[in-house]
Amino acid sequence: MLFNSVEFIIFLPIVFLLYWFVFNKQLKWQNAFLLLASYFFYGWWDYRFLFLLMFSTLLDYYTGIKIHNSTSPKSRKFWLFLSITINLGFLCVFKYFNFFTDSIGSVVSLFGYKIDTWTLKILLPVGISFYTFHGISYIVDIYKERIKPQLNFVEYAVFVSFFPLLVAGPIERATHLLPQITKKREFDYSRATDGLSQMLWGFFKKIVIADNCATYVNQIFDNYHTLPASTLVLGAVYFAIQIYCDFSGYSDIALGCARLFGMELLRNFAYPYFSRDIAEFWRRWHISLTTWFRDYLYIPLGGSKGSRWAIIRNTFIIFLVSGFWHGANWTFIIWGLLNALYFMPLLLTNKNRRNLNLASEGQLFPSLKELFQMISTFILVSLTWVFFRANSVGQAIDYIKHIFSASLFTMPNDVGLKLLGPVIVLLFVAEWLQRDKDHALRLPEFKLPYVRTAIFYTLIFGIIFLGNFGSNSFIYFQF
Amino acid sequence: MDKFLKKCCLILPVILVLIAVNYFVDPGNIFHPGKTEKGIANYMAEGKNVTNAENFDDRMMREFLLNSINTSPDVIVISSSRGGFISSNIFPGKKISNNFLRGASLEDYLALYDIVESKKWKPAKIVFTLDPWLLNDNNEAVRWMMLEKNYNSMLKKLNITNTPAISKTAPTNSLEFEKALQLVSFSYFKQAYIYLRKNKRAFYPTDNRCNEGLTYLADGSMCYDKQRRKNSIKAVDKLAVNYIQDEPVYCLGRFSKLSAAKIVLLEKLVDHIKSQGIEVEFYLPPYHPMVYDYLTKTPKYKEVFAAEAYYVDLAKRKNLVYCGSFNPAAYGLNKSWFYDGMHAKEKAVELIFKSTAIKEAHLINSTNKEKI
Repeated sequence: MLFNSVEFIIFLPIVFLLYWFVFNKQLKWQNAFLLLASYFFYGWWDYRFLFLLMFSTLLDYYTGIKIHNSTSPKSRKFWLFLSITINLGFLCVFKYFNFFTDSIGSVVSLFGYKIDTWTLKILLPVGISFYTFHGISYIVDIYKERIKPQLNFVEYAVFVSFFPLLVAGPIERATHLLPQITKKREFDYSRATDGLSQMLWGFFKKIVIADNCATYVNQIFDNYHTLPASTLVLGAVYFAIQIYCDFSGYSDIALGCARLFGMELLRNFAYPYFSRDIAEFWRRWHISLTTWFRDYLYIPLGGSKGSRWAIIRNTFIIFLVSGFWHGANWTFIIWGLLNALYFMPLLLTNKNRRNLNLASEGQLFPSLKELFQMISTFILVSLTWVFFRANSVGQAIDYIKHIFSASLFTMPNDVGLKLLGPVIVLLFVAEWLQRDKDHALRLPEFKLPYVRTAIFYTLIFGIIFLGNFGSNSFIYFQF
Repeated sequence: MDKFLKKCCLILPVILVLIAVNYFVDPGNIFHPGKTEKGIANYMAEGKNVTNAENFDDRMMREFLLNSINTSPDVIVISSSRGGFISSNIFPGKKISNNFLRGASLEDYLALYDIVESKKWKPAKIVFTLDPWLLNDNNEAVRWMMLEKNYNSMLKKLNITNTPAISKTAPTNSLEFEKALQLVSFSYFKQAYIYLRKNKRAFYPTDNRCNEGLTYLADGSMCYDKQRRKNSIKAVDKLAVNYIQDEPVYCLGRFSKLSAAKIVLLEKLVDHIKSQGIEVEFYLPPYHPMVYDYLTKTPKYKEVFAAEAYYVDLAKRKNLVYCGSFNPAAYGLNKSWFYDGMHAKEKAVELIFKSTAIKEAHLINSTNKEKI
């Protein structure tokens, strides 16, 4: 079920009350109930998806133990590769099979031949890209002897399928989440209220900002060839806001929800649009995925050690694989490639770790230089998002070509600026002011009473009256 | 935990207001079924047009309406919305009852006729609008289930014991659950709020034939809302393109063959009506030229033309009057004669029905030599 659905509004309080009032006496009941609730949550989409999830869980649970118990390096490697091959195999079949066959067909047709490509008509199981990566990181961590295998199957299954993170992350690490699962959770008032605040902010970003932006983004991208360039710029900006609010909104809801159950998940977004360069952007955007690729792909390939060419190669591989992870379409690969090209100059000039601190730390306003840097980074990123959003590479290139035309300096069409303008400004102001906090609604104590309550109520009414309840699904669910 | 639960109770007033507004305003008539339908039917039975009629169960309304009318109409139209413009203008001097239903399927036709028959009426003529999807087993029509009782009753009258393959329908339990969810639905609340804010009146009677909103005329036909009536040809073309781009085209999904079971149903229904001395007329509604062009060029929709050929053949075999064609060019209809991809305007419908030359040509081709 979706977070922004009526079913979830009913599901969450019931699970919360049962978890803390009925099943909290012992750890094993807490975990068993969480597992049941998670499978119910996931099976609500389609019960058939559960079989794949269970199989993947069992596979990694079993191979983890086998790796740990194997004495010979050959045997350990065997189990490692077996698990990774099967996990990635599922991903390839469900997500990439049709892409590969269509691409082969296209390449062959370039030489004047035609082959009948056979495509599969299968549903993409929700969240497969996320839970397979959970499993792979667990197995690799055992292989590298960073952790011991989890012998309690229920606890391991909760790690894989904990419902707040099951369908769209964050991609958790066993070293981070498993210790929380193996310890009995006690209710903590501050954590729970903070979790609720974070969920509220997530819902606001998703329902009010992302879903309203989506309406206009769709209109603009569907009719881009008839619209002035200034409107196309707006479309690109709207999409940049949409994808950020959609995905970070989901992550906020997931993290906030986990806090209600006494667990802390990995932070996934750290205000990426306040980044001063691309390298900083990639340290702040989809953090759990980028660090996963860094730890399980980039570093094993050699990372930043080795020759300059090896570093360049490794960097390109990471960005291309990241693009490919997002979807079985050339647009995502081009998106990854563009980001690699942006990143390369910083890497090669050793400037990729310049901006590790917070922008304008301790200051209310950014300096002109920082402002310029943030806006430039935002523009560069927004151009790549056009590829992410477009249906094809051709459409993306065409869209960008249309941006750089004479009508760039005309007034944009009336595409929702009256509604979206103020809420987008509110988003940036709120997140800027709170950029040193995990989320924008971690409010300080105010001198006047009820200010926090007033803010929360304003957001709730904002969601009710400004929210777009038409388009429900989260963008990252397609991955 | 107590402190936390008390804090959570701060949200309770919002939830209670949400539930109350959703229940009492109820813009979709989910929680007060029948109230709107009966109201509309009563006005129409009194001979009044009704406008602003939205979000109601039109099958329930037709049932109420037919049961409210005391005297038998001369002409009864049983149709989908594509025959919704068949009005008393087409049959001057005759009392007409148009019972078009949105998303109608053959099961609806049987059900409606069962209601007509239960009134012991003997109209002079029954006009059926024959859409191609009536013969598609996979048309995914489910709304006829609201008249399931009448459908089953008609099956018995036709001595059909093996129920033909019918579209799957959602079990009623899940429908009730879906309805209950709307009590706490923010999107439903938003609709209710818009309803209140725009001071949206409920349906009301009017002497005007056409109004701002959709109007049901006293004779059962309709007049579209102002926006649809004022759409430019370009806007209509866009609607036609959207119609084509919906995959599959409306109710024509997996239309691989004409359903043998539905053919039996239709033919038995026609025979049954004719045996009571009632004339049967077929109306084949045209598609928008762009849609028709698309259908002709798309192999997976070839059964549409097989359906038309079958209907024409049926009419000839049973000596029935028929008019219309899925092909708009048959009557010289260009884009300006349409509201969207599949709804021809009133003037197009009138043209088709009044094309006596074509009708007579049809008759000459059949074994029936009577003149209309």
